[in-house]
Amino acid sequence: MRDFTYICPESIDEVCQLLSEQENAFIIAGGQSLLPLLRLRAADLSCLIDINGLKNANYITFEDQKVKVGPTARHAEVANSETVQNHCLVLSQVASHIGDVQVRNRGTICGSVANADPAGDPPILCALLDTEIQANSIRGETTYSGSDFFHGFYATDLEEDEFVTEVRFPEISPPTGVGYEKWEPSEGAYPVATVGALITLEAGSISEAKIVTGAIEPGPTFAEEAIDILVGQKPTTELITQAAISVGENSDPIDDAEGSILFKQELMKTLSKRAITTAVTSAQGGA
Amino acid sequence: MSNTNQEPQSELVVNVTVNGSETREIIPARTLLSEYVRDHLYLTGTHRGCETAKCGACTVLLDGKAVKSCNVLAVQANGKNVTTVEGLDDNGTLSPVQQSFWDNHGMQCGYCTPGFVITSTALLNENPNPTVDEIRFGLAGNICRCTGYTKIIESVQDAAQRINKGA
Ligand SMILES: Cc1cc2nc3c(=O)[nH]c(=O)nc-3n(C[C@H](O)[C@H](O)[C@H](O)COP(=O)(O)OP(=O)(O)OC[C@H]3O[C@@H](n4cnc5c(N)ncnc54)[C@H](O)[C@@H]3O)c2cc1C
Repeated sequence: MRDFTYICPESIDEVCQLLSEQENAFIIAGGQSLLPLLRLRAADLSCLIDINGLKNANYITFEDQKVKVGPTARHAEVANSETVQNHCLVLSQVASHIGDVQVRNRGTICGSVANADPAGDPPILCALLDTEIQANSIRGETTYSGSDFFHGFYATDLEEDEFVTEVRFPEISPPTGVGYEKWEPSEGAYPVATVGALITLEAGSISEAKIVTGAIEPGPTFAEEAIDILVGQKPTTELITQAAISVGENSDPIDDAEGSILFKQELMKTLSKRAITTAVTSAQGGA
Repeated sequence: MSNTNQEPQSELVVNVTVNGSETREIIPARTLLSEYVRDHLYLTGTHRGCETAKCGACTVLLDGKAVKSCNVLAVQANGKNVTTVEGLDDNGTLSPVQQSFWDNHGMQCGYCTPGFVITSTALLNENPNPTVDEIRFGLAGNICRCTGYTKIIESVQDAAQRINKGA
């Protein structure tokens, strides 16, 4: 690893100040994505700002119908949080399957969101749930909306002098339900294909549907055709199957060592059917 | 040590409690926790394997939580407690997890063993009665390249029994 300077400030204001003053400064949160990158000398970094010393940053609360996740809340804490389990169960389920236990003991939701790894789980969930992403800089506080925050490989709307200080997930309860599925080549590895589905029912029909795919493309992607198939219809097995096939066939996966285009499209069909089915069941009030 | 209201530094003083003893070193900021315990404290039980945060051979406890020490900076352990495999025994008496790995031969070449023993210790602290599936899931971050998993899982089951019997 190349040499760099390090500082561990205690307040958000100090972090903002440092981000505006220091050249090539990076935030380090859990370090689970950043340190492997530094080891490859793949980042041009001269100063590391460690946010783990921030006061009152390690929180998970429920306020204003939203689950608020602070900048140093670890995946393991989010996974085990009763607050999260009670108000946004899917977030707890997703967090409990990020990497392995060692990764979850360090990695943060806010860090994953800022990092925008194409295979990362939190960005997909943020796009699906239209999560609020709060960022701070010396210019003040901004709130981004999760559904249009991500722009492909490690690209987001975050400005260079901004950092993520909170992510807010909406409460999910019937008649809205969410399903989330991913396929990993081995337990703990980054997923190869991921899909999230959100369904709202009204008088037995689907009034709102969202489907977001991830890992196969450079960033979270809405499956518009499948969404059109679902909205306004009754959630029958045939309809769900038709929508799931559409997700796979209209997806545009990257062909790489993890799988061919055809393989990933087939995976997408299977995963989508499971995710939409789970979303419908939980929208109906089922488990 | 607090760095508040200071300039970013390329060398820092760190105070880390390792296996119950206070350590204090001046280190470059880029020093990994794995380098700190091995090259600064000569605790070479922590093995460096893949160096890419995948294999888990370098797992240590940081304030009681299993972490891959190749993926944490030593400065991030400042003011915290670190337990390496050398810190598990009680004055020469092996811990239940260590003894179970010994008795069940929960290893083949042994290179990954310190990491497995540490992760298993943390697993049993949080869940003293894990099912086989929970053990497998809990050990997903540790790789045994000899693929000696069966004996490793038996060792953890045996350790759980010893702990629950208070042995
Ligand atoms: C073996 C392994 C398996 C993994 N598997 C998965 C998986 O299955 N799914 C998954 O989603 N992730 C996976 N991860 C990644 C993990 O979730 C990371 O925790 C996450 O991507 C980054 O969070 P972090 O807190 O560790 O960020 P860091 O590594 O500290 O930072 C990552 C990047 O984000 C920036 N950053 C961090 N925090 C902030 C902030 N608050 N504001 C602005 N910028 C910030 C940093 O400057 C850096 O560029 C895996 C990692 C490993 C090592």
